[in-house]
Amino acid sequence: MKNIFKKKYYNTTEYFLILFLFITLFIPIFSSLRAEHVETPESFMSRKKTSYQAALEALKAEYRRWCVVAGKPIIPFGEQEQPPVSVGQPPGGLEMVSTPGLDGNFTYEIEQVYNSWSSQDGTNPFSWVDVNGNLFYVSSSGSSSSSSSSSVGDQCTGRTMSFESSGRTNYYAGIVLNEKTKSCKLVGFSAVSSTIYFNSLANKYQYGVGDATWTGPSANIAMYGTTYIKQYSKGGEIATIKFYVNNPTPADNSKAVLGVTSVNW
Amino acid sequence: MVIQKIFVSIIAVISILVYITINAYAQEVRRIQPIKSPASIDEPLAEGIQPVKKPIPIDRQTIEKTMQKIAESWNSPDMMNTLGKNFYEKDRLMDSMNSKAPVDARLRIMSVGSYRVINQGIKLDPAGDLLISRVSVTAKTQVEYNDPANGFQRRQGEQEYIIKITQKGVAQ
Repeated sequence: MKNIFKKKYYNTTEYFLILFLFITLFIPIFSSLRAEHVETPESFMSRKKTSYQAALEALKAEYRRWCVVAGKPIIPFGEQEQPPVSVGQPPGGLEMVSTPGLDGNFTYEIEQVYNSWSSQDGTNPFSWVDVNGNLFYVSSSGSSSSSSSSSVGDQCTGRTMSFESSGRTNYYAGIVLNEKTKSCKLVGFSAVSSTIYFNSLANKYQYGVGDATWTGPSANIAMYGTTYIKQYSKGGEIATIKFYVNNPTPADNSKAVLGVTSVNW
Repeated sequence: MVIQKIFVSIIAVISILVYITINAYAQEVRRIQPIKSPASIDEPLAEGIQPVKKPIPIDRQTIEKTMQKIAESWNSPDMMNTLGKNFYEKDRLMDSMNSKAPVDARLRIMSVGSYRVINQGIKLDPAGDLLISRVSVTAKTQVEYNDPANGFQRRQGEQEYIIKITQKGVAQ
């Protein structure tokens, strides 16, 4: 009886020992094999901070060397400020007896600026991503203006340009069209390169095609203050331009103002 | 029998040591790291601030004047001072402005839309109690500058500005 008990006792002990060995040895080994090697958050942050700080110092040195603009301060880098821990407000409250007036006696600070849902990306003037990106990026096809112009690169519609004819023989204002990008812009004194030139005369003005690659009305005498609609074409593209030239100072015929009402392609 | 017990004990000790060693690596589990994000609007407005009994409206003129001042200070040496201490990525923004923004770039407020007071508080001050309001303002803006090659450029957008406005008054 004693031997049987002893044998059972040892068998049970052996069973639990094997179970214990399995649990303590093999399961951790299997789980460790499955788990990828991860470093501690502290060492990760330390490693990142070291490399970031070194890169930052190098960048600052380069910036100071090449990019310092007169009148603009160099912004010192510091530790990232952590937001304060939120605290609850006590119950009750105060009331303003004398409410603030409109005397401009107030201060303000911007806490955050978000793009609204309707705004296109890249137009937030307070986002460093946008400042680095679209805000000051100019594509070769012209401005990405979202105004109500008739084409993407329309820098003519609704604009005016004053010009003079003070004894010079060249043209003094011009409209440059680009049929590929369907863009338009006003240029000052120039311009055989202008698609349309404008030259102030005594009581009238003259306009015509400056760039020989374009076709359209040429060397026409026009009246101040009258709006004209003219078509100019190149490479199968036709631009219909509505323009006028005013003489704001009738006593001085040398000065004129060119205005473009619309440009349609 | 004794040898067997000793053997079993050694095996047990070794397995325990192996278990501890393996667990030492295995305990390097990832912790929850909060993702960096813009300042929460639930943050306290200032230290020692008292709540208001009922919301105090802020007149539109103050809002418009504030937006105008913000536009005037943009891309100027004062821009840094207009940004709050919790403004997200303030240093990066200022660094980008200094390196990317043309000197003649200006911010124009096209229109000031709706605004609402998010939270308010009163800070008692011997020189005049301060009404501190966190306001959300929607505004349409336009960045304007001249590109040497392509001429005048403008970028329109609509943003929501979270602004902390401090006004003087008398509290009770």
